[in-house]
Amino acid sequence: MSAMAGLARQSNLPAARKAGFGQLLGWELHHVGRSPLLWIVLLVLLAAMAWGARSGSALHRAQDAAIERSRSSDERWSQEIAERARRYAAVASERVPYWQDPTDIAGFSRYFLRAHSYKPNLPQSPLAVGGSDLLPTQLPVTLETPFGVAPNYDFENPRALAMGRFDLGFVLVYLLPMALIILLGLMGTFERDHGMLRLIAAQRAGPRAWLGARVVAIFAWLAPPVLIGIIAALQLAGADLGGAMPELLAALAAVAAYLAFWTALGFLVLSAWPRAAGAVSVMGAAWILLAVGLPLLGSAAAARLGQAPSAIAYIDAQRQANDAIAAERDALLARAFRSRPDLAGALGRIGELDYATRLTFLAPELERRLQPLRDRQAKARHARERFSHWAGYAAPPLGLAQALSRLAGTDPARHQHFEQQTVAFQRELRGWFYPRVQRQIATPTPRSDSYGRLNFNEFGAIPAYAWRELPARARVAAALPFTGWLLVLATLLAGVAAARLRQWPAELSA
Amino acid sequence: MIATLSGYEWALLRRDRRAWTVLLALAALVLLALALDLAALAAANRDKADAARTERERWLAQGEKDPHSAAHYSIFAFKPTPTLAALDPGIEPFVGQTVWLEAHVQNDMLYRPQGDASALERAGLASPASLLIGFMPLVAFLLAFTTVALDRGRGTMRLALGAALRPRAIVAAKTLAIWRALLWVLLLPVSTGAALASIVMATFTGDVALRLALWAAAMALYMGVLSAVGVAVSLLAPSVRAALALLFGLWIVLALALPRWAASAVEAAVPLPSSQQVKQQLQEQAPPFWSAEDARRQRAQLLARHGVRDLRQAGLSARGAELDLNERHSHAVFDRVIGGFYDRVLAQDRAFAAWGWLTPTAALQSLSPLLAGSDFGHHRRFIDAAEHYRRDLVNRMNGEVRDHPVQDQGTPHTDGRQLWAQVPPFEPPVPRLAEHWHAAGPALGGLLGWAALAWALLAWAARRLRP
Repeated sequence: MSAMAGLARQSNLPAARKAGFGQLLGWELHHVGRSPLLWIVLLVLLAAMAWGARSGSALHRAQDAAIERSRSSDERWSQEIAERARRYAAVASERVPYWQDPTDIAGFSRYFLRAHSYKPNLPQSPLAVGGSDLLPTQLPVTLETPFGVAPNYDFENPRALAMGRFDLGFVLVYLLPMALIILLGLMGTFERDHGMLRLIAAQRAGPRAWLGARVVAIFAWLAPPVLIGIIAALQLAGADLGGAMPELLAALAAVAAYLAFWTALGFLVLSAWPRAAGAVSVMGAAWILLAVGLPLLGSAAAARLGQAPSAIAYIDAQRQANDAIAAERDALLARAFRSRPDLAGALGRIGELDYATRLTFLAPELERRLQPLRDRQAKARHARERFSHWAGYAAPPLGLAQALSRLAGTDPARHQHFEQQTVAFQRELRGWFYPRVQRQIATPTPRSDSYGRLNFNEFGAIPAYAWRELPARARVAAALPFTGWLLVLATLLAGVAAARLRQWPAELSA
Repeated sequence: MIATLSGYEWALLRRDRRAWTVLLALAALVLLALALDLAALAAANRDKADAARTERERWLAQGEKDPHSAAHYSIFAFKPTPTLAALDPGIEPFVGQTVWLEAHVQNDMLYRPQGDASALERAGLASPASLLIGFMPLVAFLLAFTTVALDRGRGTMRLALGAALRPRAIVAAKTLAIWRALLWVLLLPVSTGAALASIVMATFTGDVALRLALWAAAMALYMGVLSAVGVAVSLLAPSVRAALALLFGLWIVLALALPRWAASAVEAAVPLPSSQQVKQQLQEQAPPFWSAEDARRQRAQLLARHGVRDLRQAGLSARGAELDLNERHSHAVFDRVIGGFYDRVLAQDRAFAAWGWLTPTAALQSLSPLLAGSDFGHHRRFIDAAEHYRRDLVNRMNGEVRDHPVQDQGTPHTDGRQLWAQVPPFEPPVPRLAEHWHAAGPALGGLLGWAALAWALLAWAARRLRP
């Protein structure tokens, strides 16, 4: 029996009940909700989220419009070529050079084939710009491009790229913890700074329940408006949320878990009973360590992963391989002809082959020679991506940035999927064109007295690019482990904070 | 007197372990970033110099061939990174480092260092300048909070003011002490390190010295602005907690949020056409492969120009003359379309620099890469120089084809090392600061405006001081 209860019994007074967590939370919810600071922070955050989503959406709308223009341009080109082919079928006294002749299969394959691969943005893409400002959304596909993917990109102002974009991801990953730091740092230390902690300690409330209720109340006031704000900002930005409900729910869960992590970290800091300056400094330092320090060190380590040959080394190797192939050209062609029963009898025609036809043999040969270098580059890139993925677990801001961009479809993994489809499309085109071009070597279509060569007219049968999207569940499944990890971290941090809060600060008992 | 007081404040500041630890931690991070940047820069420049030498040897040793084929073979031009980019890489990680100078097309610069970077590599992209510009305000505000707001909170400021003959001298001394701490601990080591590295790498010239001196001066002014703002806010805030909230909020708004917001506002106000639109325009106006109908028109034009029925009568090759005509036509198109596009990029940068009045961080984010030689203006100089070289090379090769007509089924004209050697090696431009100084106006104006505002704010706060 406590001394207080004993005293109450002696004086015939009812024993004062210790205030429970629920009671305190109710009071704190009421108290925190009346703070002007909370509403100022919320208003600024919501405005920033709306602007961020709008900024990301503007970029993606422009990219999608460029894709549509490119498609239309390719279609117009196809019509123009078909029209030109009809004209070139007319009888003429002169012959058009093969590189100006769309009715010549070799000329067409090298000089007239215009094809692109596209990576359209997802409905929820304004959630995070991720790598979409840096990675191309369309790639030209030619038969001779080594490994199918040209090193092209959509030019964005490099100053803006270096600074980073003010998108919704930036607001959620970097500014949201700042808002929480200010709220926790100032509201969690109010009594301490004003010398009122002794009064609180004299009440029938334990330190754990009292501070815990304050922290939970701040979280409860911040989290729902932020989550609703995300939906509202995306709606305002014109995102079609109905088409991306699983990703949206996963993103809301990730942001809620991220808020829980920072709240728990703040709770841990506050459990040492610092003043506002100390609390904000320590939480600010944690933010800098997690958002800047760890990525800086991790990036330096990542650059040394895999020993990838540099772009300059790759160019040098490509130039060397091209020179060697040019020097061995006829020997290479002869070897290829001898290995093919349909061409073995056409060895004598090697000297007459046009450039486009020669390329059908030499482009794969260039790839064969560069393959080891390419494999090393791909391996190093994969290692860097894996390292980045795991680094996200050590640095939650990086982890959330990756999770959001994964859910938004603006991540490197989706881009690699796009590149793989581009490579597959190029192989499909090669598989379609090369046999037709090479058939003309041994069994050429008889020449008519037309202006054009007329050994090709299957314009409508050329394979077309079709984008195949990864299922939504793959994106959600990729983001969920990180959300779980944040919740585990939050629980651990809150547990440690609660364990430290058995007593009021030592100086109060002095 | 102010110097003595400032020395005293400096000594007090050094005794504050929390403030000093934060200052030293940022200094260590800045020096680490400088070391990493210098190592990467030296390795990349070494690779580029080697590759450029190899390209020249390849060009000379390409053997006997049709000169127009040589124009297609051509060379890759590599852009060396300026030494001071180790201080501020600016746009370097986001622009191509090499360009293939082939006939018919002005190719894009390819292979951006951040082109296939992981999220970690992009998040960890920190340089001395970005750390100083982004996080030094927080440190300056923390120092101001420690030396002023906490002094006020404890009541020691009131005692000092009561005993002082000139209270304003105390404010000046505190501001100077903070500024001195930032200069000595953050700016001096990194500037000295950059100068030493430049000397070791044998790139230290008068222009580099001037750039470095002005970079350090701009950064010092920025530090002065932040010291003054920090002290003024700490003096004007109604309480210690309000000072803390205001300073932390100011850091978030001025250094983190507003610069990015300004960048996206500029993009909305001065949008760039997409790469697809640019390429489509080029395809329509200067296609690398022209049609048979175009070829007929061009031949008629050439015959009319020379007043002959066969270009051989004018001692010209029809193919060479046509190649030359097309090439020169494309130059005008490239200047209009690509040049216009790059002009627009520069207009965006100027518009962003003009936002320097909104936050000193944006002003310095424009000024610092300009002084380091890593902004788009300097990059454009390389693009233009490489394109100029390409046009000279291709025109020279096409001219050789044009001036050697193939006579009645004769073998086509070829050239060899003697002609290739007549094309000088490509020398990347080394832009002098004086050529780019005009672009610094808006950002410098913004920074000076902030300096005046900070000084006025500090003077006002000092005048309001009562013991």
